[in-house]
Amino acid sequence: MAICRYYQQGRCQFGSNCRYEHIKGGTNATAISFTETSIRTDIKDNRPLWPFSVYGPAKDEPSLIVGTDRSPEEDRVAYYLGMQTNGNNSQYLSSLDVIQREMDGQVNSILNDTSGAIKHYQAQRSSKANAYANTSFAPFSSTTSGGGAFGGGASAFGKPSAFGQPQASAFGQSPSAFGQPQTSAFGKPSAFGQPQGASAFGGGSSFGQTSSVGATAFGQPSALGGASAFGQTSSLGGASAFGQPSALGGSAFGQPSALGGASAFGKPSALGSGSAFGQPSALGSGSAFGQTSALGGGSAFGQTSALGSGSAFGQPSALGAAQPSAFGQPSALGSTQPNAFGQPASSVAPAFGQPASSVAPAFGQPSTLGTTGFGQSTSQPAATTATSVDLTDASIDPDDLKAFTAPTFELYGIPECEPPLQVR
Amino acid sequence: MATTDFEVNPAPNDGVSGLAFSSQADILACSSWDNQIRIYQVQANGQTVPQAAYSHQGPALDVAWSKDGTKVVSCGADKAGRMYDVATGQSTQVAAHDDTIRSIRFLEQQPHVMVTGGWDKSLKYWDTRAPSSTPISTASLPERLYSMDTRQNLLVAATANRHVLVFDLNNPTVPYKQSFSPLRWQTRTVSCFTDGSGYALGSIEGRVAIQYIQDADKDRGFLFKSNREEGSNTIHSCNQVSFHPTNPATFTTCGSDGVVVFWNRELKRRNNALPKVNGTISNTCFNGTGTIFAYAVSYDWHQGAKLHNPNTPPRILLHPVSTNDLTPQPK
Repeated sequence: MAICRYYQQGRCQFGSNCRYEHIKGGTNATAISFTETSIRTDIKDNRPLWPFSVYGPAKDEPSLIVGTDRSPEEDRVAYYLGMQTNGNNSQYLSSLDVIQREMDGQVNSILNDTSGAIKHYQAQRSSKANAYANTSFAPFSSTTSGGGAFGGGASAFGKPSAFGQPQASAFGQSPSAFGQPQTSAFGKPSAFGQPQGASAFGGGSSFGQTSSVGATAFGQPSALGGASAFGQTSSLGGASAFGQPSALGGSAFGQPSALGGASAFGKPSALGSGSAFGQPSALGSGSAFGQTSALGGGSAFGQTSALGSGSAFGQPSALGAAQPSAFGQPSALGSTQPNAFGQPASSVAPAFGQPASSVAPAFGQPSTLGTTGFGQSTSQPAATTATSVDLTDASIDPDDLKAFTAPTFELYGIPECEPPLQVR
Repeated sequence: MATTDFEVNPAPNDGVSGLAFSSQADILACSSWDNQIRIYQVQANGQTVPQAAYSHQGPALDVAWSKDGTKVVSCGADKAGRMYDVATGQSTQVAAHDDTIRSIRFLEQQPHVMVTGGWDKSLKYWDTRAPSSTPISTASLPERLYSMDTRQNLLVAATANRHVLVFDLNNPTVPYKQSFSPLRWQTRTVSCFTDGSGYALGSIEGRVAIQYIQDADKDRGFLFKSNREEGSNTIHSCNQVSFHPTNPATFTTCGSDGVVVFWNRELKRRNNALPKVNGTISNTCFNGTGTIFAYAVSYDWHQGAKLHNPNTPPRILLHPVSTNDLTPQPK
């Protein structure tokens, strides 16, 4: 009498009424965590939207469908390259074709003979032991009687990118297809540095020196600060700080130099001479982002993590100057202002649009006081369960309150937490 | 998007590939398929002011900051890594691979060391104080690097063919552990816990695996479906996982379903979801203090070129992190 395959997989519905033999063990009840059915369901019914992928039948297991990994980034680079080289997508489409066929081939082989595929897989798994750690199994193909000479990942789609330098090592060796060779910081002719023609970075080209990026795009503190958060979008749209939206619409990798043409970066750099970047703490001096906060310690959520107490690998780090983890102690960074979330938010819109009546200070001005829009608990609209947070919460720890009075995390500079709450 | 979220202007001209905030100030860097790295200052009132931009010679695929906030590094399809010095406004090449460089990071414990990973199946470490065309060391990978992240002493590299390599940066060229992904399909992203004790993997099947390094913590690991819609069998990709900088249990997922979800990994619960956007979310990141969450509504290519519309620019949005985002929903 034939053996019941379903029983061996632990899923026979007929039980003692089954017309087949219920005998445990056997080649169909294969590996621990996958079955013929699970594999078929995965590769037929539950295919991810992104089609070009290897497939492993279970957690931590090697791949059963092999050699078919092509990431969206690889695909996109192939497309851009093809468009650039040929002006059309024919090269891209044919590369897609190759992988699609490979993918379909393996999937169909497995669907047509799932148990054979599993046997093929198990054989490799047991014979190669750890040897497969760095490679992949041969693909299962019912037409090529298993063990194809397909080999690892080498594939038509793994082509080296033709962007930039074709070679490996020395920076700036061979001239690029993309621009004139120019000197780089390494003193060798380099195609790295300025893209062709006018410097995208304003000022002179960077022959003989590294590129200097222009200034603050607008050259002055944002005139946007005074109005509503969205008030000036149109002016941004017009005179984009990054140059015109460009030609990039057509060719994917447009003309970096087009940016250079009308770039706002043509102005002498204010960066070097003390822009916000020159003073790392310009934003931070007393800002809401707590640069000077000694809050460190635990977060408002009460985690006293032993973070930073040692390497996850069980030994103290010998790297560098045994820098303590940013989380192991009061960190200049780690200021947790989550408590700002515990404070009721008044509705956002008015606050940013105009000086809202309830808020005295600094609205609408670029404030370094940290009347930050980001310190508030906003409104995720009440679609989220009402129970999750009680924002009228006066139960802020007094400690936290104290800590927060200096760099004000409160919404819009509301000194205390009070006013009503979120919902907008 | 939530109507309280702020839009970053001007956005890149083509898709976003990476977002990173400085840990020292609210300055956001963005890498784009239009070859540019853009740097924006985020003001307290939600406005963004463009600060600078520099180019690669091909699509830029990743961007990162130095710990002290003085340097931005980026990499891309031009096989180059570039470093931008915020104070001087100059950018220089600091890395090279034989193929596209997919990911770039500074090492937290070695502030001058940068690591790059590429489709040439290698990880290379570079000393940014002495830029050279030769890396200070190289680790070989079994396959093309698809994603990489590092925190504290932990570095995790996820490659094609579902390989996951864990490195202890005390020994940066020899994997501490190598395994196959617990997820069944292509790995899309890896992100380390801020304390370096574990990491999250996201895949094209819209699942995330939370994994701990220490064997003792193994059972704390788990898998879950991050990007499934109610009543839909569409399998969306999880594109990025971001950990909250100061609230270690909180992390986000995002993907081709256009939804950002905040989760709690200790309690294994969901906190909050942002309203679904019209588009795919390619990248996310928190600012240094965890008060701002940036996300890019940008075509993630999950259906290839056929859905690519060069006339629809990406959007980068800034979401003020709320208590809801940080609080697990009751069961």
